[in-house]
Amino acid sequence: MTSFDLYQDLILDYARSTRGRGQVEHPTGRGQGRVASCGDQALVTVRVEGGIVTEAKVDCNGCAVSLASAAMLIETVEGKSVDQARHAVGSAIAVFRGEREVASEAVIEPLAGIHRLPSRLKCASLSWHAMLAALDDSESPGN
Amino acid sequence: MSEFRVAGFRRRFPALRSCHRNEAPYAPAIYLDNAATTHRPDAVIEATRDFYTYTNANVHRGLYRLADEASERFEAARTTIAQFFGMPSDSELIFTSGTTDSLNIVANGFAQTVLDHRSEIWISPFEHHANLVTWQQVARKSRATLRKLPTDPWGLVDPTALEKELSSSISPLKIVCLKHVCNVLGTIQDIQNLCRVISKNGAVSVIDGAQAPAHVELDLSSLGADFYATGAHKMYGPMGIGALIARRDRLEQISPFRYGGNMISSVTFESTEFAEVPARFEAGTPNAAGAVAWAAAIDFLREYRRADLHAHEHRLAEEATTGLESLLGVKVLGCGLKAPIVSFVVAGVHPHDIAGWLDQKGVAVRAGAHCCHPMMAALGQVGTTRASFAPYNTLSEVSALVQGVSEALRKFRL
Repeated sequence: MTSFDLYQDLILDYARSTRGRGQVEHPTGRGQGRVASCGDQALVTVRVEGGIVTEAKVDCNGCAVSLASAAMLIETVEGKSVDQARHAVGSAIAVFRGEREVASEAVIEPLAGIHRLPSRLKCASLSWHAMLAALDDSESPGN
Repeated sequence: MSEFRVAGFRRRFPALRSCHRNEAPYAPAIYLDNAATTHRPDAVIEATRDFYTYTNANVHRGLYRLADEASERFEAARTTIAQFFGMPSDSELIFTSGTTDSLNIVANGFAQTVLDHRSEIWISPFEHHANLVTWQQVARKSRATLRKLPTDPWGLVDPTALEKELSSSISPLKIVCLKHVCNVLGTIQDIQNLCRVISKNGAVSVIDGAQAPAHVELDLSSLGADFYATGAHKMYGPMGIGALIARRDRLEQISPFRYGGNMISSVTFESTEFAEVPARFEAGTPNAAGAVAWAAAIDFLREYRRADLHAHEHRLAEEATTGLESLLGVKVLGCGLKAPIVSFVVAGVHPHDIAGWLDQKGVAVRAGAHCCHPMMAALGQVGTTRASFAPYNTLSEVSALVQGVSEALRKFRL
């Protein structure tokens, strides 16, 4: 296992960012995630208008890694179509798992090495899984 | 009896001599997660190797000398372990895969067969999931009522308060489940008096003794517990082996529910007669090498005066508590007499980040809910960071812990 600087400044800058924290008013979709080992939770709310993710937020009580990752998530999906957002989220989860290379200049680049710390993988991917659930919820028949 | 010196004790643990295999800068990690599992001394590792090298045969089956030797070593280990726990007879110790398994045997083999809708299971939110979840499920299946034990803010049960609760209950069958030493806070229940009260009120005590053997002198023959569940790997023994210890009459009340070889006295096509206790609960091939290695851990501990080991680890815990509490915003949880387990919270910093930062500094601690989600809810915390000590830890390792937490405060206060 090679070393990975979990607490590099860029990750902490994202963790300190308040962008996308909280809950969207009148969301069209909601998704929840929970890490069983520590009890951390994330609630993702999205508003999709005309097939575009116009607003997304994460309500999360987690560690710096999960907070940073949540901020990166919002930066990744806002303004994208639902299909593009879903694809981007799936790709990011694959990067976190070490299953694919990170694209150049991708917002998640600072967390691309998280697969070298398996115990923290869930912190990084918590809100991303919740986002997939929120996007599905947004497209469910009730919405 | 060897004189206890930290350096000499420490040298007997190969994990503390060796380098971390793949990680630069190749410094041995400072291991402060002993409540999760301790390291193992050479004697334990060698006992495992020795069993498989010189006496490798299945126990209680073969009709050749090698099999006899394996069986003898396995049963000698049972005697050593039973004596360590103060039990007069080896037949009062069932080998299991660990504390969790032992609790499940009591729950499924005993409780499930005697509880009904009039029964009560008394347990507190401070219990480990191995205890709480197990009894939740038994309550659900048997329709018994799960009742909350009265505790102080740190989960300690007062014998007088318990007496009041139990004596006012009209339930014909009550089971009381408690952990002896808290895996999160290190707090120690007044288990002898609690067992006395439980017994006096006609209830059955089930004690989770996962953390106790490393830190408390145990004499189960006088403790008064009906069932005591414990394991090897938190007391320098191997993983994957533990014991359920109880008086023979209590063990005989357990219905076998795992069937297979070794646990029978006769079998026809239609029916089976089970073997005597303890064999009737040890279906299949047992972890014989594990038992032998656990006995080796006990022999290792017997080379030292336990009071010396306990005095050192308590000093470590006290230094850690003092050092951590000197840092602004750090609060150590728990009170009173404690095992050397120091759980703390830091205002504004998530426990994972404390542990993650310490890991980068080469210090291994546990962080999170410690398999105690309802306890965290009761404490009003998302989790804690926990440093737990063994006699091979040093004061300089405590300093590294406190220094690391101090740095983390500057780094993470977001």
